[in-house]
Amino acid sequence: MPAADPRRAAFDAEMLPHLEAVYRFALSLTRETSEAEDLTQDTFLQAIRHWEQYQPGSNARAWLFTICRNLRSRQAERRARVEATDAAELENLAAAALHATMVPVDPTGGFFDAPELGDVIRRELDKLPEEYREVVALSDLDDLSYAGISQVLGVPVGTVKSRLFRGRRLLQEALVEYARDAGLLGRSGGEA
Amino acid sequence: MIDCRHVIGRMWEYLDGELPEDEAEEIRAHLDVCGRCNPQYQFQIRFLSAVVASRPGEGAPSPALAGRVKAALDSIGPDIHPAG
Repeated sequence: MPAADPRRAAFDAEMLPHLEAVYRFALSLTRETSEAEDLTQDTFLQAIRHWEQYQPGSNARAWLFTICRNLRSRQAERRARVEATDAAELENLAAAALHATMVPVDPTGGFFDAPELGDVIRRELDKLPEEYREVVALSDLDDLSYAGISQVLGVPVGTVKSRLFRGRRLLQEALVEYARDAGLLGRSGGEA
Repeated sequence: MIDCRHVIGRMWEYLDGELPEDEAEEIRAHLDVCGRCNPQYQFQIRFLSAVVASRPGEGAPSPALAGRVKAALDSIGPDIHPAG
């Protein structure tokens, strides 16, 4: 489309010469060509929306790079939030799958009431990788909320959830294995 | 109306009391009547109760700790000012 209005003409004249440079910068951030092209397009769209903030004659390339980098950071934050949410839900589903293996032998987890389980839980908690152990401890031993744990660890709530649920699942797997080996489960079916 | 997959996918948040009340209420109602989800709910409650019960004592520090902390504070002396 021809640049009929003067605002657009000024933008084109000042900004479009930096298209290739912006693309190269975007590619360095995304490492993927189609993502870099999208990011480049978004950068120019954002630039024209905020054209009035640009000081004519200042460093146009640096201004565009700043916009590009900020857009990329926001994309990464959004992606991290979505991935953490997905991971938390997947951990819930994985816990359900583990429970499904218990349905034939102990569907409501009666073995968790065995007197020796306290020692076993402490021992197995100690074996968890630290990133999971600390979240399980803060939640289940120290009664902190997700928001509280997020504050203590300086990680987003989504990350707290995915680590907590993973930690609990790993702990459950270890306890189920212990219960099988110790003969705490019914032998009527479901044994591997 | 929520389904089993939704309930299972949010089980931990529900047990941790981290869901909005209206969603928690829907899940509660589902668990009351669902023969598939309820056993898992019972299983996870028992698991969490066992973990909570495994807490070592009340985590009481050794009797010497209070004295150690006080001595450390005394060693700083009175010349301290509130932060900020």
